[in-house]
Amino acid sequence: MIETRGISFDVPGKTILNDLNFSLKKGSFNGIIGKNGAGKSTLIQILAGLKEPTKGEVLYQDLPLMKISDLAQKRAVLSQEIPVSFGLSVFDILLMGRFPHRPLSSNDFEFVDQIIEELHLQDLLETPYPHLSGGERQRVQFGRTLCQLMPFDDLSGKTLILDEPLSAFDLSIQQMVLKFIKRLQTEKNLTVVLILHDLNWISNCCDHVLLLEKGELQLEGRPEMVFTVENLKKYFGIETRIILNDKEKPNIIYL
Amino acid sequence: MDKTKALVARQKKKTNIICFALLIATVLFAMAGTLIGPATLSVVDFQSLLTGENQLLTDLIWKIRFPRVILALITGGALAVSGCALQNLFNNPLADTGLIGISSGAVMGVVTGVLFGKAIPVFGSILESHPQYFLPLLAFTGAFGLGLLVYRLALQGGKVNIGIMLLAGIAANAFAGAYTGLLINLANDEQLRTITFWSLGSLNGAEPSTNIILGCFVLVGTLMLLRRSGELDVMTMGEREAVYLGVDTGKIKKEVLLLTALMCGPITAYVGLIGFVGLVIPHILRMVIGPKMKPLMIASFLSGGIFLNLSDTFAKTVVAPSELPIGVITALIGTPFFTYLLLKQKRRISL
Repeated sequence: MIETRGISFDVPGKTILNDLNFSLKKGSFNGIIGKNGAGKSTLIQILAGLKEPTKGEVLYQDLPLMKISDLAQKRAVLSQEIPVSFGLSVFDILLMGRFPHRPLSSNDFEFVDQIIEELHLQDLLETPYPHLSGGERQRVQFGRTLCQLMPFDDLSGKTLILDEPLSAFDLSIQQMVLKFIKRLQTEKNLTVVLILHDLNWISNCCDHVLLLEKGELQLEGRPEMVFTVENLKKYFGIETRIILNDKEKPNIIYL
Repeated sequence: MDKTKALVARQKKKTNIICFALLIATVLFAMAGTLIGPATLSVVDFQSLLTGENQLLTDLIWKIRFPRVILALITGGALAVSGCALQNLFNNPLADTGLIGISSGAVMGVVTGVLFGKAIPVFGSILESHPQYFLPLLAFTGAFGLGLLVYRLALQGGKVNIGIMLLAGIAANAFAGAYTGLLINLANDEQLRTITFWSLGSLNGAEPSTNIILGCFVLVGTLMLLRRSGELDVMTMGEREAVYLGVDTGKIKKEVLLLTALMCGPITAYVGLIGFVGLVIPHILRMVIGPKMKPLMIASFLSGGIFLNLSDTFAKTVVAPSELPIGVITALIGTPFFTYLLLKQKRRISL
């Protein structure tokens, strides 16, 4: 689905990413972890087509990513915090998710309706975005990215990229959002790429974990392979105990 | 269910009502602008005009008053629409053609052309015989050039730094002013009159033939900008999100700067520097009709015309038989407003 071939990213005087080679399978749930400054966000911005790698290239379904003209119809991105400079309403923001699919038809409006129902946004629709709380804003932006991915009948070939999407949310909404994404991945074959600080969420949701350190890919594989007491000590400097939960996924207990 | 469709329909209805009301207001104020002047006409005079009895009156109305009203509508519309587009592009309500050098760039272009253009063999003779085509072209070149320069200077790591943008705008305007001042010293009497006229701004020289040319520039510019209203909406979430939603942001930025220069450059070549219309009108309308680009642009076009027409009616009557430069009036209204906007976002501007 997504393949990187020797991608590096340099800024003057500093290498952010160095020679990364990996591939993400169609319908997989991928977590990117690492300490602050490891290059996670840069990597995600490259995978999303915002930045072009200084060296190497990214293939999306075997095509060079930067040359795909309708990329926005195939992948949606949820960033950490999105300011909106004028008072557009929640409804206007949701409708922007259909922008890559313009001209809009009545189908598009139905898709937006569906998302409004799913995320319980009915009461917020006409509120100006700047008036919302941080959590509400992020919920609206999540809705907007889902609108972009619609219809849900077939999501294989589509990718959702998320950069620390949960920090503004209460725990209950964090769980709701992750379960929602997990369901789209398992039932509709959506490919997911996710950055999260919470290692337990990563361990529970992902089937493929990439660990970055100083711009280099140190480890990749299934969560039970990456999340070991030794690795967590070595790459994060934390003391932990690992127990396997009923789904055979490692649960990390911080000591 | 069907919430979305209902909301879209409601938005459309609201837009239609507001725009229709503005259209009626435009016509009414245009009529008032035609009747009111240093010699105010009564409705009875207006009737005799329709029957064509009074030749002097007919000339006054059709050759002087009416073209001037039309020029006010075109100019106000162009400035307000450009303001809307630039504010979404820069993501800031302070962006305006007057502040980012587009207007003063146009003056630079024209002054350079008037003074030096005639010395160039072939170009000079065409300039002299067809100034109505060449002055807009020169103004456009200057406007786009200086606007692009300010924009480039304001870029910081791919994002526009508003503080730097305002300062770069000041620098650009100061430079353009100094350049114009320098050339004024080199100018002969006839050229001097033309040049001073620009720096004050006036709708005095309105003529049907130039109105048609300017109208074409403004119409094309406005329609092309309207086609980009979706992209400009998305740009309010910042460039990064716009790219994620499939907007070619580099292209849009160039296109918007080009189109605003295309509209406001030639306009400035004829009416001179009229500031703050693009700042005041979109801001007030955002509160009434909302910030969505398409309805906002259409309403701004009409309101900008109404605003300038009213200002001009005021300008030509308040010190009659003399006349105030219209730029003075828009600046008197606009500067307090600008200060208010500046104070409102004090924190964001910190360099």
